Amino acid sequence: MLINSIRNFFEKEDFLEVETPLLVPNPDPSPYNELFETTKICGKRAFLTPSPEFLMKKLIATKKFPKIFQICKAFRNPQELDPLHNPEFTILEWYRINATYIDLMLDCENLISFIVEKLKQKFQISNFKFQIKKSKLKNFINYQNTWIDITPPWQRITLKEAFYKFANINLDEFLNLKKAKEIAKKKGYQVEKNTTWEQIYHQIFLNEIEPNLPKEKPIILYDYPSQLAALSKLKEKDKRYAERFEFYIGGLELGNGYSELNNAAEQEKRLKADIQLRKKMGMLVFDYDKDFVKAVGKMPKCAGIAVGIDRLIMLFSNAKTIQEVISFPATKIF
Amino acid sequence: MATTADLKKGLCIIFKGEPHVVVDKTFVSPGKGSAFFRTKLKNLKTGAVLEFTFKSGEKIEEAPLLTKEFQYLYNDGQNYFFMNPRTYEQISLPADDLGNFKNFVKEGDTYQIYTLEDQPVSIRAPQKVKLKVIEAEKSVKGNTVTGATKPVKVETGYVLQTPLFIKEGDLIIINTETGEYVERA
Repeated sequence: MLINSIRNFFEKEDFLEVETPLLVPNPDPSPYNELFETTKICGKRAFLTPSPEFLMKKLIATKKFPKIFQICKAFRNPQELDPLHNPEFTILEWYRINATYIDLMLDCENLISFIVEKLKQKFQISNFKFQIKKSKLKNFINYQNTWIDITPPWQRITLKEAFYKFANINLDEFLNLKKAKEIAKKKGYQVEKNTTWEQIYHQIFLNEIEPNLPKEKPIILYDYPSQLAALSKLKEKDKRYAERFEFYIGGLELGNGYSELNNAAEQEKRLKADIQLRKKMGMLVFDYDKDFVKAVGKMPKCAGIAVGIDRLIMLFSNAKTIQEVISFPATKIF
Repeated sequence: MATTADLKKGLCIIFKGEPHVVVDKTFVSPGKGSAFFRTKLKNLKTGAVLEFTFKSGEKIEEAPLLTKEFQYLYNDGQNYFFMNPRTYEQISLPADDLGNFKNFVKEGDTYQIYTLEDQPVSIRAPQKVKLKVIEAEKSVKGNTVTGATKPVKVETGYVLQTPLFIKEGDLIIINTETGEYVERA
């Protein structure tokens, strides 16, 4: 039902549904999680895709498809299972050309509102309610004992604002490793010689920012430090930050979108760095996808996003863990 | 010295100078090459629970806590008195240190008490307790709705909601954290 309404939404918005392979020879090497390597295909190494991103971008690069979406399985092997991840999960990705991450933020607001309307028509759901305020209809979802007003526009806050507001940190200064170490030490965190910038950033984010994000409204966090650009484009006016955003509803991180990087040289540099980091960390190492680098160079200006469907189901069914919304979660079958 | 690899539920550590017990631990991997452990730590002196996220590999100071068995004797409202059944040594814990668990201590039963340098710090509350129902209203047949509950009183005097089929004399299992009924024993 939820997946149907997602399809209806993208149909209404004139998107084309696509399907790309789940088995590939050169997956995204991002060292975020380990990949699943399978037996060889035609003598070549094969992997399950951690997301359909590379292949969907190759479709965008053909310039034949201005707006595409896909709902498929994605595979990521975490070091440990936790209440928000399953190694095999359902992902929704969409891409639109001539768009930026700002357009995707609007898509997210519209998609969630659309789903709520659809679900409301079909079911009497006790964790939904609506109110009329100043002759405007407001929709609420109850998630884990909080009523969340999901009516657009959602609250938008840059990482710089969030670090200042919740951790009293000037992120511009914090971008420097030496300065970040000083700030973290002063706050009482353990800082060692080999502590990385990412570790300090995430420790402060996880301890001081994420738990304090407002829960009674959806929130969009945007403009990530360039160190965390992933596959996004840096901001024209300030290259220290990237056009990347994540959105949270009820404290659940649901999606991660970018104005897509379309500079082949920069893309190749990032892929090489990822492979190097994989080597250093003792993870699976393989060749990066050279066709993908070429495709990135041909890609028109575009924006794309991934949303976790299992987490959306958690939100709408008021489930605290991902295991509750999956019929055979990995925690049970492995 | 211990590290985050040793973190597990029930481990007692010194965190910001105070003894804490790890009550929950989950793995978090938010980005490239960095792994974290999100924990819930309960301060053994104040009972306050806080959340802290450790970087994977951080050093952790284990608390030199011992657990000893003590028998519960009585309380005077402010303090709960226990006795070491071997040495007859008596100790007391302030009611606040027992938190919710004070609703579930039963005279004569033995409990694990954390001690730090021979001083009692806190009680090691089991997640579930089995207690006898001493008062329960009779349910009226035909008067049932799915999921209906009724109040019952257990032998420690605590009152909670249970399903209608629970009757006086039944042994029931209660979750000590939430204070809620789990099942009939």
